[in-house]
Amino acid sequence: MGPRTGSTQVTQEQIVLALSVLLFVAFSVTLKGFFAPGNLLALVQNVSILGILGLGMAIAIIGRGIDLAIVTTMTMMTAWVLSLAGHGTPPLTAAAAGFCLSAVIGIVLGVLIAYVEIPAIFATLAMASVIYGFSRMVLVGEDLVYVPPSASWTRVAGNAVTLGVPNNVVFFLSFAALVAAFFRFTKPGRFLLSMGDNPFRARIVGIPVRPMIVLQYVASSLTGFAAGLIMAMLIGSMNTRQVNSTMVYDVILVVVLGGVGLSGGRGGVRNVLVGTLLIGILLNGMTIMDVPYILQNLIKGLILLVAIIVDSFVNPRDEQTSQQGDI
Amino acid sequence: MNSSDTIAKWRSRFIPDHVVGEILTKEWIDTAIPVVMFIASIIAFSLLLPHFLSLGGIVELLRQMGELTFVTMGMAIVIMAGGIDLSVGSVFALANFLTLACVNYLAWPPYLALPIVIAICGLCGLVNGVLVGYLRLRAFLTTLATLIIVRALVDYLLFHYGSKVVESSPDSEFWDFLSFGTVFGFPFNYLAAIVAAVVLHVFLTRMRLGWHIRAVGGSRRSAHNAGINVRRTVCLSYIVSALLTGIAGVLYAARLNNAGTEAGVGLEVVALTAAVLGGNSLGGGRGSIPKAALGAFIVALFTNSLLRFTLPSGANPLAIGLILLLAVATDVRWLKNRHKLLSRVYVSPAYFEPPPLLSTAPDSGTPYAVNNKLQDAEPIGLDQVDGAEDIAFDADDNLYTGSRHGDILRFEAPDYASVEVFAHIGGQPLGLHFDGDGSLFACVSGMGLYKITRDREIIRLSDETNRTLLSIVDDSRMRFADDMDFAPDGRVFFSEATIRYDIFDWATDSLEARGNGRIICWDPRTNASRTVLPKRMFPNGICMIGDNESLLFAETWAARINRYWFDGPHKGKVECVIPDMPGYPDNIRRSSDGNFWVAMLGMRTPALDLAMKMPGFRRRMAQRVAFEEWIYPNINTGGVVKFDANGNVLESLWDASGDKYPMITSMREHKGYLYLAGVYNNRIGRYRIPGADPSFNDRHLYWDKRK
Amino acid sequence: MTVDSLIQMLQVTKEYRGVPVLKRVDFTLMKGEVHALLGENGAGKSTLTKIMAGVTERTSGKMLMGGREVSFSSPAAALANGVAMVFQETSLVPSMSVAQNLYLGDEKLFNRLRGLYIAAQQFLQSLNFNVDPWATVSSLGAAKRQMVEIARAVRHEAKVIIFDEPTASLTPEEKHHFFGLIQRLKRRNVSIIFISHALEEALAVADRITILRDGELVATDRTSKFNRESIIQAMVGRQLSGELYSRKERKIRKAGAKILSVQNLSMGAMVRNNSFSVYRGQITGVFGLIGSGRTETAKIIAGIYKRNYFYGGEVWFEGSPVRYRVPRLAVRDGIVYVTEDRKVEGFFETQTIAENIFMGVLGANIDKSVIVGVSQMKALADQWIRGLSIRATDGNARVIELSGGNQQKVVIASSLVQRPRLIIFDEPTRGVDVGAIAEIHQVINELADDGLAVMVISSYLPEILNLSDRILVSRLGRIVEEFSPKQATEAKIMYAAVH
Repeated sequence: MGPRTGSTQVTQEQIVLALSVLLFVAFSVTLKGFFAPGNLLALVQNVSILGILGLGMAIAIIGRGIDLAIVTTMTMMTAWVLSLAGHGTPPLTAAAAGFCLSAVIGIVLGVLIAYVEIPAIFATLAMASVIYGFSRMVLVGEDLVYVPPSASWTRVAGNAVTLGVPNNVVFFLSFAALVAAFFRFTKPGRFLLSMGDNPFRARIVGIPVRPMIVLQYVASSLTGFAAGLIMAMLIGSMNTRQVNSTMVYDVILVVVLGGVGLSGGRGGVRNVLVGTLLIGILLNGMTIMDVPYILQNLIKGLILLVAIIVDSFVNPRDEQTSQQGDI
Repeated sequence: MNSSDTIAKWRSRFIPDHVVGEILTKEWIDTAIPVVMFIASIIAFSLLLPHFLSLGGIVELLRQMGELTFVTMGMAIVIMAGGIDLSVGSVFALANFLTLACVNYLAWPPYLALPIVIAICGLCGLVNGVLVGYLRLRAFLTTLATLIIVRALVDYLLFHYGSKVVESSPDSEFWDFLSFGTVFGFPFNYLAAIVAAVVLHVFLTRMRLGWHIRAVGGSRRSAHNAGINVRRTVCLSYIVSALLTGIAGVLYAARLNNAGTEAGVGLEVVALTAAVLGGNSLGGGRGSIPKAALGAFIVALFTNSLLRFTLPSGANPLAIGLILLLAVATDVRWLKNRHKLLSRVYVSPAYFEPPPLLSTAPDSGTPYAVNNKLQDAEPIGLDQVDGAEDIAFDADDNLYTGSRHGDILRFEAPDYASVEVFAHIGGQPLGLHFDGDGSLFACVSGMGLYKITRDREIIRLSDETNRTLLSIVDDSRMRFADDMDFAPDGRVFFSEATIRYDIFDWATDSLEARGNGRIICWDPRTNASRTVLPKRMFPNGICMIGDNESLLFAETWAARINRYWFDGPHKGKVECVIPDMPGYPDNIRRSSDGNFWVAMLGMRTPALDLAMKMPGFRRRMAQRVAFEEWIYPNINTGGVVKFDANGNVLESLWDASGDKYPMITSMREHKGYLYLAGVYNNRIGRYRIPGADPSFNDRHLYWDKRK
Repeated sequence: MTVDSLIQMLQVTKEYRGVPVLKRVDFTLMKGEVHALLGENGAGKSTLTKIMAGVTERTSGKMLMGGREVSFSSPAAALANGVAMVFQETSLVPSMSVAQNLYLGDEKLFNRLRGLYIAAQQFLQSLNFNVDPWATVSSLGAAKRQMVEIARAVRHEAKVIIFDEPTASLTPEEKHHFFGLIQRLKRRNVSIIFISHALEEALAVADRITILRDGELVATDRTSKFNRESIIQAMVGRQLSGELYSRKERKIRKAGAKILSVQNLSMGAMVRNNSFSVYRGQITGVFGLIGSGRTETAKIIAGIYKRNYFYGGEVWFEGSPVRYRVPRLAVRDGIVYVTEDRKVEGFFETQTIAENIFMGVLGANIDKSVIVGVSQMKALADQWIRGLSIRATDGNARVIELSGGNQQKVVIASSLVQRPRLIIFDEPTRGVDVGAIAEIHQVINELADDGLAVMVISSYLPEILNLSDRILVSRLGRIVEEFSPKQATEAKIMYAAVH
């Protein structure tokens, strides 16, 4: 991207933020019940899962990868935990098992990408299929798994409110803070940013690139798993058919909309928050307006398109400066 | 000969090592892993599944594959142009719905409806193309957005009209043909995909727009700088992709007549998988249509065949995921290590048993005994010649020779003191001969056979010969044209020393000791060239023997001189005339007493002779030692030998000190003198031959007789 | 206006985001002349020619061609008007074959491949460029790519051909062919603009010379009016050549203990049986042309490339054999490589100076803690900005915004914080302005004075002669000759590097 990221330039993040504010103001003025504390909390609550998944995806994307298996990991691992708990395993033990298996998934992904050098987009796609198939065959018997009675307290915890803020929003925000701190104040975080920026330099300067890639996918898998647990706590079940939905596209949308560069190294937690915010406002507004689900998708797509078109006018790319293989 | 010799000999005769190196240089070897996958999967499934290879099963399988092949080819074209098209699944669903709507609900005739539907899909592609190509948006995000938008549209349409469009179905033969038709028992839609694949392959590899697409994918900026309209090219790639997807959607609609919401869901992932599995790299640069078709076949084969096993739920995606990972992992490693493999094996020595080495010691009594006669030769063009391999004289006795810089130099008679560049051809002119009209024929290494007229007009005579059937590398080009002579009817026989190396690596060819060279005949009547004698060991000098039906040629690395009959009763016969020269013979020329001169560019050494019988040793040397330190032929001593047509060696001339004429690649007797050329010498020599005919001009032997 | 001028640039100005890189420059190209365009990095040579070739558009001013005002919006438009350019940064499509690249842009609607390849071979050979038209461009070395570029421009039969540093990667033999080609083009009345760093080449080949400095025209005249000194003075604006590459008497450092010994190192076709040693407390200069295996050798030592697994030779560092899988292990042992390709592997472009320098500390694992100290980072950055006199407001400036010389200093700083025991500089002053060259040389000298083992790889002879305490010459993947600076001359070194 080069010099265009200089300080005088308007970034995509700012555009999306402006768009969010615009929509927010428009909805507040035109829609009854939009600008109410209850609704605003509901707004954030509805996108918190998406936001957490977005954070996981951002870790992968910033490190110059992508994790298309994140939704599958989330769904299948959570379903397994629920199913284990349903068959009498103590909930915490079950969760620990899910945690471990998610980490293993991350390690396998990382090894495939870092050591076998399979392109990330492809490795994660194939792994999504493997995870789903393996889980359905061995771990999870049914399509829809409910939170068992032995863990009904999690339902309470998931829907509780702390200091006026729903717990899953608290989870989301604290998670965001955690990831932000990871990128800013820890060595692995810095390494990931640098690897995404310039993998050649990263290798020469002495960053353990391959172990860091493994770490990156372990982090994204675990984030997915955490999102799944929070989701189960919130709605009380996990539908494994979700794997076949287009949810992973929504996750990418949230991340990239906020301005995280798909070519790595650019962006951070703030961008994910901005992207999540816009989608949240949009979905919430449309729900209030009672827009049918099908049209909601249409509008979501159009908004995404508008955001990237505006970005292309603000930050024009030309043949002399464009990067090769930058899709 | 001991037994290890025999083994080495038979091994190098029957195991064509050099083919491995040649295969690895080919571009299509890139596809090796998908092809292996393809074959392995067919074998595996036919063993595991009963009736897998039965006709009905195959037809049904291919029918389903047709659609995926279309979509994958579209995806591959976009990928080759450096983009990605995620919207294919939605466009596919749109085509499906629109086809059903037009044909069933609106009851339009299919031949009218189909082009309209496909055109509408093309319009979706145009939207993608304008956004990504002209507005320079990011392909991944943009097509993701169009994926969502088009999918929402289709869902909306299906929600409102879904049940109506499948109520009736048209009564049309054409429609039935689309859905169930076969051509010679081959399902129509796969046949259509194959035809499309062939057309698209030709389009991408040979047509202008195809080149542009691959150039843009390979490097946007370079394509722009080369004057290609990058934006339009990118835009067109998306349109092509959408059109192909539209065709697939139409075929799907015809086959299933199903207005479900599941049509095309996740198709973008399947198509992407197929494209990448076939060996197309994301980000552009590497890819082809056969790869895409192969990838589509493998993916469809797996998904369909696995369904026919009775497996627990989840086993299918597990198996597919694992197999895809395995395939891509192998492909990635293969790509990475292919070049390492190549650098190890291109030089591929063979077994060769050199003839006995005759002594050249001054007191040995052999006709090769070393003397110092050439010391007296007077220099011409001292430090002016650079790469004079051969010499020729025109009717006015001016001397012509080639140079390393692609020039033909002319030294003015009679004292040969002044020099000018007669013509610039390029390459490195080697063998030179004048024809009866005073035109100069030149064998130019790297280029072929050329003629320079008296007016200095340069005419290309031959730059291409027939390609050998079943050769791996296209051997029709001329890499190393070396020496030539005229047949009485005007045909030109010329040697190409090796087809595996350029002139810069000519010495490396000696390490292979294999028949890499050939003799080619150019016929002025057809102006075409044909290989007449393939697989000779560095065929070098060529000289007509004078009987109008045979010629002599030297095989340098084999240290022998052969006679080849190109006409007459013995046509095609090759006979060895001198089997055992102590050095490496180069050009052969006529002498005034009816015999022949042959130049020796260097001398055989016992060490290299021994190494010739040890191909393994030479291979290890080529792999492990820096190439300046390989054993090479000794080219620091050379000489001239006179022999008769029966192979009797009559006399030899040497520069024993080696400081003036260390290497002799050619000589020509002209008016009582013998002129000596050596490609690395810094001068041309002029040696007075005692008792030679002072009016002898070897051109007369060819041309003046006919007048 | 003279009758036979072909291109006239009048008061041409070019600005990039408000910053002028070309200030009201006048330039005239005559028919059939060879015109050398000289200047330092960033003087505006490339920009001026790129405007002529339609690669970039001018901000203001006029361009006349044959007396008519023209403006090229793309290279294609320029080509249609007979202006072709050979780019410095290669503009070939790496995934396509040489023949395809040669014909790209004006290929036929349908191309018969074999005929095309044979025609390409004939054409390349007629220029004496030994490039296999079947080869994929990505498999070619720098010199061969350059030849394909040149061939492509020549093939278009343009009236004007612009060569931007055409000889940078060519061997003397290939240069000879190239200059022969220029003479033949000139005879065909083709006008040639020739950008070069090698002043001797310009003086030998050009009919006229134009010199730019900081985007302004400094001098333009017939070649006979210039000599080496006057050109340098015009380029730099002051008498500098004397200070920079003077051959004044200097102390030659004695070799300290042997720190690195390489034996029979081999890697593919690039490095073959390479053997040499490096000692503490002195600068070991390695001279070699591009493609002579010097960079590859350095990268193997630093763990960036891997030598052949079988028969790959040995590397001994501080008395023990080493074989690094990754650069990280080499960095921890104290071997640091400063890259020749700053843009690709020199720095992180989204990050600040401070972050870039500090990443060296993090990479070397000097501080074992997982937590990153932001204040420590700032302090370190300030220290090095002062120490190497990096011209930037503060450590928060992005590296990408700095000039070449300052970028190079940041790269050096981020290497020096890794506490190296052996530091390898690969082309330390490539693309660096003259002022900064002297400073970087001083840094390198001080490192050696402090007892560090320093290796300097360069293809610029004066730099090697000026810096080195020992001179090694690399050719065809191995060190072929060693000189002491006292006995070495440019001619001797060049001979060893070529023959």
